[in-house]
Amino acid sequence: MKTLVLFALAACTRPGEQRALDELAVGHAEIEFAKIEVSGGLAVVRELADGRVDLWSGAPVLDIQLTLRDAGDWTIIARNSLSDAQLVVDGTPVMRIPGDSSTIATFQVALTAGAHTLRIAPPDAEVVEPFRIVAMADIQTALPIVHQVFEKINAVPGARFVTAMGDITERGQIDEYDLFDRQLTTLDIPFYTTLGNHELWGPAQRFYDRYGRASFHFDFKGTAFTFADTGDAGIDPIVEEWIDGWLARAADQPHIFLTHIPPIDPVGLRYGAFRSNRDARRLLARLAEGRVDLTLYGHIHTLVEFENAGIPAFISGGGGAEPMRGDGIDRHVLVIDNDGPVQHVSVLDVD
Amino acid sequence: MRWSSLCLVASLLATQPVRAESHRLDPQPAGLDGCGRATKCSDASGPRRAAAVALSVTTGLLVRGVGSYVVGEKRAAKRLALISGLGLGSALAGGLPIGISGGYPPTMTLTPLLLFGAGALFTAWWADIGVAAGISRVGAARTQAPWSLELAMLYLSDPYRQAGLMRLGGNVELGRVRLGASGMIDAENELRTGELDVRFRIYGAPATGGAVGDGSRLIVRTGFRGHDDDGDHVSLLTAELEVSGRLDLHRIERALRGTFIQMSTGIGVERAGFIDDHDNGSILLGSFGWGVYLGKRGELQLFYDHRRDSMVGGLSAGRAAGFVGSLGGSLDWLLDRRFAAHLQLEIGNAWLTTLGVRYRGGMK
Repeated sequence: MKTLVLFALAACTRPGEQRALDELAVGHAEIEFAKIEVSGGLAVVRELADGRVDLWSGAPVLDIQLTLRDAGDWTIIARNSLSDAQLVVDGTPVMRIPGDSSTIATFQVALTAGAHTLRIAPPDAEVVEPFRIVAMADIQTALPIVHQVFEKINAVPGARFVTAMGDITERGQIDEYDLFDRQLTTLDIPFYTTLGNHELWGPAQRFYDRYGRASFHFDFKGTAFTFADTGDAGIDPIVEEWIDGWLARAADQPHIFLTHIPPIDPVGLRYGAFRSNRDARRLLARLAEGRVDLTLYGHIHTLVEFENAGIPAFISGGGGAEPMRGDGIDRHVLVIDNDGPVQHVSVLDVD
Repeated sequence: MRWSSLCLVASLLATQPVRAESHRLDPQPAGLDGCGRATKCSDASGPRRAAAVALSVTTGLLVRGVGSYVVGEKRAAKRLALISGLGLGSALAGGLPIGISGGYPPTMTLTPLLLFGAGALFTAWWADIGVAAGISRVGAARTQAPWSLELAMLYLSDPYRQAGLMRLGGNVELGRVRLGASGMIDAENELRTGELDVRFRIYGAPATGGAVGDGSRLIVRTGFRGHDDDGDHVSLLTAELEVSGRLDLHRIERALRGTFIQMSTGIGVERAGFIDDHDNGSILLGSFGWGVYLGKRGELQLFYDHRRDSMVGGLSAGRAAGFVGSLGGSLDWLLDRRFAAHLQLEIGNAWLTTLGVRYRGGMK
């Protein structure tokens, strides 16, 4: 039976195609009297009801089109937001309701019937200046204790958000996602992530429904961030086309590329990489030509610093998953100081 | 590489031929049937054979030899089970340290042991299906021609493109050394590949193009390859060293006559050139296959190839994606004394179909 399954899988050379198409539904919702569209699919619409929008942010800046049939009072909740995120509706700032946790931004606003442009962002989102983020991957079986990693991250001065390279769960099960949601409440800053191969042990839709797209792109303080779904050890041509567009858009910006599986394993004999070296090289050629400044990967539960196609690269799988034995590297995260086109990467040990 | 080489050499030396028939030019002596013995092959009825095939394909995945056992080839069943046991042991010996350590680089030197074990497990399974189906009645080995030229058309279908390619290659055997060269180009001149091969035959019959009683061989190969891909904006230079062996299975059991297993492993270094930088890397080579001699007409082989740097890449094998190579099948068929056809299908990240015609030179 396993062999039959293997042959069936072999027949499919684009296992990520349907996932890429499914992602496109993220950020859109419509009910009888309201319609919402989040630009770039950068937030999940967890709820759209009479007078209430509940979003899960996949990026620090959200541009939203909200169209209403009738005027009314609306509560807009943006979860996984920066602590200083503000809402601006049609050019008018709206006060954030105090009292929620630092990553839950709640706003109440009276809206007229018709189309409205909303932006949820920190006030310095467009200011080009140095800023700090954290990167991590591969939590998996360490979900029950990942709050220890988050406590360390909370203590990093000035960190704005966490970027993650996937494998937040071991098997992509609902109870694991529930636990991860609870653990995220211990983190003081937002957590933006792509998926990893372990999320594909369950339906990818579970990931999309909670955290949004796995392949997405955003800008923050002049730096571009591109996340790509490589959960099945390759990039679907649809995603590659998106990446081409994002690379072109960010040609003159500092650019960080994040994905779960490294295109090429620096230990070539191991093959902990894309299933096709040709596809891997093609992606790296594009990233090099697109002047990407830093590539971040997970998947291999260790820490490796290397270069691919001349681009500085890190494999950082220190989120707590069963660590590689023998290399002396345990739980860790990367602290990245963005200073223009130069990123200073340091390692923060958790244990 | 070291491990698999040792295993292959040990296999070749330890498995004494059931009869002293190595290199015999008459593959099927008078008075013997296709099973290589004076008595008939197992004379299982049609329904019994069909049941054996069904069992070997399904249950045989877990219990090696069940197909052989059902058709009455009990000794073959036991020996296939033994090969599987050895394969499992080898796979565990190689795979456990890699798995437990999470891929700690020094443990990766055990990968050939893992591949050898996987090869033994799979080829024993395929061989059992072959015995159940009565394939062992079929034929004898034939060596390569002293020199040959091949023209092949290839069709590549990968997630990003479809391409038609043409390959022209040739090789010649000089004593124990075989020199080979080939060039390949696609219809739009976007893909260009050139290869040079030098093979040294440590063991096995020299290339006469004729039939031999035993096609077992052990070869060391060194190869060089250059590849330009204008569409991908990548150029590759590869150098590799590989040891490969073929073992005719009649050396293990008469009922397996007419079939063989083949394994190879090696290492390569690669230089990938980009627009204004390059990467240097290493490649693990490894493959295994099981095949059948088709009378005096050629041979058919199923194989697994572990390398990911080919045009085919690795299978999108669900949870194992990234760690698994490609599967394939090939058929070499003699059209007449001078010409042979070559048909091959490889399935990995891409599908690659090859249809070639080979001229066999130097035949006496």
